[in-house]
Amino acid sequence: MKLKIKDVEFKNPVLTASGTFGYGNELEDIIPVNELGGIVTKGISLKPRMGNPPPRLAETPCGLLNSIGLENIGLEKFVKEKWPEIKKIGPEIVVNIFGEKIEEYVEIAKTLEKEGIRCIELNLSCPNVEKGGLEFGRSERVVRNLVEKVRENFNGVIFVKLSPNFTDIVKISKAAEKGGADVLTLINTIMGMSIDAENMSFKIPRKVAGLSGPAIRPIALYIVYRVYQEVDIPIAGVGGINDIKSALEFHLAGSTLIQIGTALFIDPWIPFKIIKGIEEFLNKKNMEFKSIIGYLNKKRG
Amino acid sequence: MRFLEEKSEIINLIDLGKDYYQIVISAPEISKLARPGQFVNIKVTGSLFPLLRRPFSIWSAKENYIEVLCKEVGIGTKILREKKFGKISLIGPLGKPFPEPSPEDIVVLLGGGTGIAPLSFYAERITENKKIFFAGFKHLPSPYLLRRLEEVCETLIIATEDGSMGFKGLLSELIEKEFKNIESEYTKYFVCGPYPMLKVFEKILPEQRTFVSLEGIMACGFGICMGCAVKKKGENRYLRTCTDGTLFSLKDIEI
Ligand SMILES: Cc1cc2nc3c(=O)[nH]c(=O)nc-3n(C[C@H](O)[C@H](O)[C@H](O)COP(=O)(O)OP(=O)(O)OC[C@H]3O[C@@H](n4cnc5c(N)ncnc54)[C@H](O)[C@@H]3O)c2cc1C
Ligand SMILES: Cc1cc2nc3c(=O)[nH]c(=O)nc-3n(C[C@H](O)[C@H](O)[C@H](O)COP(=O)(O)O)c2cc1C
Ligand code: FES
Repeated sequence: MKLKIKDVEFKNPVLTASGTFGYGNELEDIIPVNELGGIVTKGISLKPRMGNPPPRLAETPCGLLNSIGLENIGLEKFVKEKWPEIKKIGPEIVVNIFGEKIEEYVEIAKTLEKEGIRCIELNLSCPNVEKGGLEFGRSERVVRNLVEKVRENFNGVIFVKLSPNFTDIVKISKAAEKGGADVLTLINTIMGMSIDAENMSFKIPRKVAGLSGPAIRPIALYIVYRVYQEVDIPIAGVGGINDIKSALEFHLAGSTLIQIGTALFIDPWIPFKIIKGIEEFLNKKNMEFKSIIGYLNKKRG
Repeated sequence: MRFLEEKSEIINLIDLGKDYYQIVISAPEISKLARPGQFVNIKVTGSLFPLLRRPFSIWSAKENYIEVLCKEVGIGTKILREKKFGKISLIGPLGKPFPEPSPEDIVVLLGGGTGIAPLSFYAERITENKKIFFAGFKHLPSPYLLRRLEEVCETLIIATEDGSMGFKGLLSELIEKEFKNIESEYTKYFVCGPYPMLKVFEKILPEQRTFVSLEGIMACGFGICMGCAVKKKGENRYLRTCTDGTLFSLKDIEI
């Protein structure tokens, strides 16, 4: 199930999703991290971010709302303290990054390139300060421009991660592809809300939070399906994958890679069960891994 | 940190009246590793609902099993109660164990509701120190529960909100009254209970010698989601309840 994207080889298609596996080495003593296809780190910003005050979580039917607020130690500390540790643990590391201005993405990408980091993931679901706080991922023009600027400064593999919150994600995906993205990560959390009726209050003080888990799986799957028809670069499918079957669903719809998020909180060993399960499925069907990618999704034209 | 998953069975369920119940879970591996202050994260069904595990303090750990004291508050704790002798999945032990006391320490345990569980386990394993256990309940606790507390502590003082036993009122009111009798430079306070109770104790107990065990909402319980943030005092950063705690010195955190 080895996969090559540009000159980076992934042992298998199963990665951990950003923000759901810490910086990457937290569970080093517990699970065989080096058997993962890859690890996407927590989002890193130029300056450290404290994150939001608690409560940061609320459970919903088959889902989880989170408002972590992109807490992270910042680029400098990440490069100095975390990177030397996590680069040793084995699988390909994808550093997830975000900023409030295009220049911030560029500066982070430049620094990471210098450190020898081969894969980055641009989280475009953050407020764009220059655009009055709207998400970067809302405008095709901004997305294309942002990805182009990062592309000029980063030679490795660029994942671009999008959420379906406001706009037609197919158009935005095409813009990212035109800008030079190598992989599209679909999808980030979906905005949601939870209210405590008894106490007549919001469960999360910021009111709006990001929904993840099986509750969003059909939405993510449909987006992967639609985008696959319109773009030529590989897709990393993410959203509610929590077992072998749901992982296969994403491959059949068009995902080359998959990322596992919320399911890790319930079962941190799940990626290995999925890796094994996909292999067994392929043996049973007597198929190559490549031939199940987009099996149910005939490209247009 | 070392934890594992055990597919376990509830081998006994004891109804303790009102919303309280005790479950005994076969867990040969986790019970060996478990130390006072640690918790387990329980998946109450094999399905997607409820999605997350539910964290519970370890009340006691014996040869092959652990005991948990539960209060029914919502869907997860309801299913668990109704499961009787069914199968569950258990991850643990999680969190840092409570620290060993120094020989001269006088250990004062302040537990509200199910908050008595980790403190009781702590008391059970402390043999050399003087221990005083203050336990607060809404209503009259079951005789079984009281017996369990008496077994681990020579001095047990009860407060009930409805006055059905011991001091009538909140545990914090009792402590305000008793404070001068228990306070000394060797007294260490260990507190676990509902949030409003912690807020009161934060004001009345000496910061340097008070330790609180927190039970904020968690998604993972082992340090990867950042959901269980607790503010570090005097610094612009959060700690994680699940891996930095659950026990914190009052001087280190803002409740
Ligand atoms: C470290 C730790 C130790 C705990 N020890 C015990 C114990 O020994 N005995 C006991 O009865 N309870 C204990 N709790 C609280 C217990 O986890 C919750 O009561 C339980 O999760 C409620 O689940 P529910 O589905 O019944 O409630 P619901 O309200 O339906 O739960 C909804 C969501 O909120 C979370 N939640 C609700 N209340 C709490 C709470 N008080 N603390 C944390 N999360 C909550 C649930 O986990 C779930 O994700 C502990 C919590 C923590 C964090
Ligand atoms: C607690 C939590 C924190 C997250 N943090 C980030 C983040 O920092 N950057 C990011 O791009 N996505 C973040 N995500 C989104 C996930 O990477 C993933 O896209 C989303 O949760 C959907 O997948 P899932 O249903 O498998 O969790 C976070 C998700 C959760 C639940
Ligand atoms: S509960 Fe996930 S980090 Fe503490």
